[in-house]
Amino acid sequence: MQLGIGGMPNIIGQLLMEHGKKDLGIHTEMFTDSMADLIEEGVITGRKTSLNPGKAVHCFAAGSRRMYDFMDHNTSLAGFPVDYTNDPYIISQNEKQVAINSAIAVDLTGQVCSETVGYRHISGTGGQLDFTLGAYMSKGGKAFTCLHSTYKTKDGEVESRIVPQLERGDVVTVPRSVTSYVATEYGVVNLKGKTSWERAKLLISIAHPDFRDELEREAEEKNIIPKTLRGRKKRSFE
Amino acid sequence: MPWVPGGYDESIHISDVDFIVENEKYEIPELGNPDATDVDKKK
Repeated sequence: MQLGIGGMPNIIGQLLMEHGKKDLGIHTEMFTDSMADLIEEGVITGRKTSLNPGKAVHCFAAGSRRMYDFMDHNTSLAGFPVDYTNDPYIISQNEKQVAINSAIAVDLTGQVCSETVGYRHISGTGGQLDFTLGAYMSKGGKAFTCLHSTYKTKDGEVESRIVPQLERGDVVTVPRSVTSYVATEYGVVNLKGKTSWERAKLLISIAHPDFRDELEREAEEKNIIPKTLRGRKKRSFE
Repeated sequence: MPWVPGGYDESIHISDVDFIVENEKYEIPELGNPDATDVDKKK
């Protein structure tokens, strides 16, 4: 398992504990508090990890004092250089590698932006592309891009994070050719192997219901959904 | 600072070090841990 930066690793950690998962392993860029908790609880053992059994493989760590104390002289951890942890071909040598990363916006072609809002810088690129690719190449692996369907602007307006196209200045963190699973609170879809219009339909199906009609209209206007296929959506995708 | 075991290249040889800055004043930076919201937990 690899978890990205932000609030999401803690959420996943909490949910994994609640769901009684066992014998998970870690191959990640960033080691987080939730991973320390999961090792202590016996959820992560690395017992079934194919590449570095028994070791939580990571490149760096950032978290609480409690996590730093947990890490100190702990032989269940192994720190590697970033050119090892983030090499997609190394990552893919772990069977069932799961990569979970968050995003700021996803457009209807499947491009993922996790770094900027327009020209405003939010975060570095990190290992999102490396792990999305590596987990996809891993036997039985899966790569998830997770985001809330909406956000509130500072004026209190609700906007969709699934957008017809990325805005000027938005950085493409994961190109549409690499994006596979995308998850919101309305579901999970897999874009791999789908045509352009199928991707648009799938992404619209996990957008906030209040924005689905508008997204559908825009997809048609921009010809992401071709004329010949319009109106057929509801039967095949709902 | 924790001392963490490595896979490889976890140590720097003294011949590669130009300067050492000792610090007793500043604590290691900590990162906050926001709790899961209801939206995060929704399936």
